[in-house]
Amino acid sequence: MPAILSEVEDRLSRAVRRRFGEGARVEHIEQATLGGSNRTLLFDLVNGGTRRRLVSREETFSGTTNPFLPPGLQYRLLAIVHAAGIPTPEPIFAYDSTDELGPGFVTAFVHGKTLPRRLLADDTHHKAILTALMDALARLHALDAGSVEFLAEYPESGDPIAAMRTRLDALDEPHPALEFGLRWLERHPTPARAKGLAHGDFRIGNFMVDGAVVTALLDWECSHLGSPAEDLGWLCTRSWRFGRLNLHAGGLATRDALLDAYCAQGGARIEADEVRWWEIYGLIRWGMYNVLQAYGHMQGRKSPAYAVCGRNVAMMEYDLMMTLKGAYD
Amino acid sequence: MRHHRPDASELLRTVASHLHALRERLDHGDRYQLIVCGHILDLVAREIEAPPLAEMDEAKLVAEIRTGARDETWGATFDLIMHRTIARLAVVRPEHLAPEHRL
Repeated sequence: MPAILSEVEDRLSRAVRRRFGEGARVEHIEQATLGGSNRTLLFDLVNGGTRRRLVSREETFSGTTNPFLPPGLQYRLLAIVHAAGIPTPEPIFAYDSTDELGPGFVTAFVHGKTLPRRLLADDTHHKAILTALMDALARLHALDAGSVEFLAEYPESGDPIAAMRTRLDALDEPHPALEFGLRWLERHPTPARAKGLAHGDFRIGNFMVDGAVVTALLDWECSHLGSPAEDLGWLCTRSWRFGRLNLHAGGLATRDALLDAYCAQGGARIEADEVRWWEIYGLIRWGMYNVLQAYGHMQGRKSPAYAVCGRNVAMMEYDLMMTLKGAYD
Repeated sequence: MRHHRPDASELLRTVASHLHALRERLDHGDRYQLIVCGHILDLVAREIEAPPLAEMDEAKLVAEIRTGARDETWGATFDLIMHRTIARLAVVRPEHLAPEHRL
C-alpha cells in the first residue's frame, strides 16, 4: 500500500483502466479516514459519459497477530450479503497483485452519516433506525451458514473464550483484568445456540444512516460464525454507548427495547442476561483490540493514536471490573 | 539534586496547553492526532506525579486465573485487580472513574 496520495492515484487509475477500459479515469480522490485497520479513499470513476462515486478500502494491519478477515474474503462475504438484499455497499472489484494496491477492494459509495455523536445528537429517527437495524440483522442472521462456510476456519467461529485467549496470548502483555473476565464467563456459561453468520462489528459507527434509513452496514473484517446474541451484545457493550449509558443499545434504545425490536423483525427471542454475557465479552474484546493497536505501534506501525490505545485499555478493564461487581449494567 | 523549575509535569502540561491552542489551525486528521498528543502529555504528567504502581508478576496471575487456581480466592483476586486498574485509570483518564474511586 503506497503512502503518498499521488502515487495511489496513479495506481488507482491503472487499476480502473485494466477493468473498465482505457477511457476510464479517476477524479476527485480524497482520503476519508485512517481507521483502526484500514485506509479508506473516495474517488469518482469517470467512464464515457458516466461518473460514479466509489470507495477504496485497503488493509493497513498485517502480520501474524492480525485478527482481521483477509480483504479477499471480506469482498467475497460482501458479495453474498449484498446479493441477499441486506444493506451493504455494492462490491465493484477486489485488488490483485498487478494493481500494487491493497490488499483491499472497491465498493460503491453509499450516502449517509456514520459518526456516532452526530447520529445520536438528534433522536427524531432513533426508533426507526433501531427497527431498520434489527430488520437487517435478523435477515443477516437467517442467511444460510453453509454459504459462508469459509469463515469456519477463523478462531472466532469456534469457542469464543478460547479464541480470545489465543488473540491475547499473541500480544505478549499480561492483562489480569481481561483474563479475570474470561474466567467469569467460563464459570457462568451462556446458552448454546446454533451458529450463523455474525457481522462481528455491529455497533454505532459502522452503520451508514440517511435520515431514518439504514443505507449500509459497514466493516465486515470481524465477521465469523457465531451466536446471534453476540452482535446484539457488541452493540450494547458499554464502550459503544457514547456516554448515553442507560440506552444500552448503542445510545439508541434500552436493551429491552432492542431485544423486542430484534424479535419483532423475525429474530430469535433472546433474554437480557444472554446479551449481558456478550457485553462482558465485548469489553474484553475491545480491550484486546486496544492492546493490539499498541502492539502494532511497538512493532513499527507508529502513531500517537495507536500508542495511546495501549493505555486506554484501562478504561475497558475498569468498566469490565465494575460490571462484574454489579455496579454497572 | 533537584532540577530548576518548572518541574517535568509542569513542562509537559505547558506543551500540552500550547498544542491545545493550535487545534483550530489544523485540518481534521492532524487535529485529531494533536488532541491525542495533548492527552498523552497530560497522561505522562499524571504518571510522574502518581505513586508508582507496585511491581507484580501479572503473567503468573493470568496463568493462575486461567487454570482456576484463583477461583477459591475470587473476591481477593477481584480486589487486587480492581486496585491496580483504578491506579492505571487514574493516570490514563481520571474522569472515567466512578466518583467513589476518584482522589
